[in-house]
Amino acid sequence: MKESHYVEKKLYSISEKQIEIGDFFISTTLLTNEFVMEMVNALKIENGKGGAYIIFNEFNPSLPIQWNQDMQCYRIKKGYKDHPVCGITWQGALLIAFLVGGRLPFELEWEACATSGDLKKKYPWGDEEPSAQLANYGEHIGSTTPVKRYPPNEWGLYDMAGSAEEWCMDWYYPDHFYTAHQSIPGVHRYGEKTVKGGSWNKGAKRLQCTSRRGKWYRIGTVGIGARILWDSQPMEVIPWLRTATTATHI
Amino acid sequence: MRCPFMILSHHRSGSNFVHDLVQAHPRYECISEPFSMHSGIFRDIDLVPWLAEEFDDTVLHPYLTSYPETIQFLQNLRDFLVSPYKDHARGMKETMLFEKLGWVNAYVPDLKIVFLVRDPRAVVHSIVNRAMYRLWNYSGKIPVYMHQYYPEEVIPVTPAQLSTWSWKIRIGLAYEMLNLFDYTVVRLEDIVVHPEDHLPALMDFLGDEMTDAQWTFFHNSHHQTRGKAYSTRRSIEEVLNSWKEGLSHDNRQYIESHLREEMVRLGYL
Repeated sequence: MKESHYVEKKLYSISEKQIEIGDFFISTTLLTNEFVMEMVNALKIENGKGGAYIIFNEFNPSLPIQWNQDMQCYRIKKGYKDHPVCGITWQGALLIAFLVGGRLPFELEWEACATSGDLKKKYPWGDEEPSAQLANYGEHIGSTTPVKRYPPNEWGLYDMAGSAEEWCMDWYYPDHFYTAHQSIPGVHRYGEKTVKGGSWNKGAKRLQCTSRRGKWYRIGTVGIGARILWDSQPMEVIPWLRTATTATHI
Repeated sequence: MRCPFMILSHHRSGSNFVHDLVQAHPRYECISEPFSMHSGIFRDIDLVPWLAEEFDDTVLHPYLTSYPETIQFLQNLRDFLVSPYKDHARGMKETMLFEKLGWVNAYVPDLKIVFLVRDPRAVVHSIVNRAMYRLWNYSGKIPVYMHQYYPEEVIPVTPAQLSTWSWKIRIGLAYEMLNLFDYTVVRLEDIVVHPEDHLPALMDFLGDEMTDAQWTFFHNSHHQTRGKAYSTRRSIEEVLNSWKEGLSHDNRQYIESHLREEMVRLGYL
């Protein structure tokens, strides 16, 4: 959270359209367990009220952030402070980002960052096939790894492939990429948000920069985390939060 | 529109593997254990039966009345399961809910069930070997259930005995209630040994064909053992045979004598 990379405005050719993105800062690392835990403790957020969590999944015993009854606060399992937070919901990730003046990346922004501005790159490091030295994936390790464990990409961004997948702002439609920037008409909201980047427990194919899938925005899984982006010209994030909490399924 | 589905299995039966295998299909999305791993209440009421007639469309079940956040979560979950994109399908996998299947049928009436089973000797060995009986509080749940429904039986004490009874109780409950659903029974061993027959059959039950991505996932999963307790990467040898060396003679005898009827029914004896 202490380091970010500035991304200049640039035009990208997408489906015969020119789309300009940029003029933002993006965190060089994924959001960590320590950062989320400290924020939730400091704000005394009732995360698990009524048996259902809001920000992160505190009910799965295998996840690192757990409620400590004796201390009446959240604590992190030993050794996981500097690991990317997993089990975080989309709305939880956006709320944390919002609280520090940022938001989540849109899918196109995320891909631009993963490829260091060259969307033709297959992986963040180039076209070389993945290995256990380049990224944490495919159960080679069996869990997330500390941020900055693997080499960064050209822009200095770590874990753009592997360790934890990353929530994006966009609603996910299987047939349409970059939905937020494409103004896709006539499609419904099916309750899934786009996730990118692959993770410790997913296969090599998920590491490809164009790989994408959808996940229910209310769920916090063992392999999905988040990265924060700050617009130079701050956008209004509150409507996105409101959308998430009132989304209906058609 | 495709029916929602549930992969139901006892703990340590390969449900993560089948979950990921199904989800490797580009049109299938599966939520892993929304009741037992995404809620703060269902592990506490494991093996407390919920009946179909207790279902209520507003509060879902009387027990939930004081948990409005959980009611909302479960209502959202149901909406999510029954509203897939175009010709896609959505489902969940669970290792609990055996005693709540009547209620589940009222909660999501069109739910299809893939009932996944594994040789109980392998299941018990895995649970004991990884001390998973603590996570699931078998010593707190199993004796209470047995006192009510198996009053003539000697209450199990050791982890292997508790795990044996957990399997017996849950598999018995499943067979009592599965006829409420469109269901299929899948043996993990069959998938692993004869994937060419059993994987297409599994996907056919769900209404689709196996894809190349699923075959790739399958072959990668069994190439070698990797990862930790919940990894889907296990060698075929480990899946099929690790219990044979790890399970003590006494525990094997206990399992085979107490589960004889179920094991014969499922082809394990």
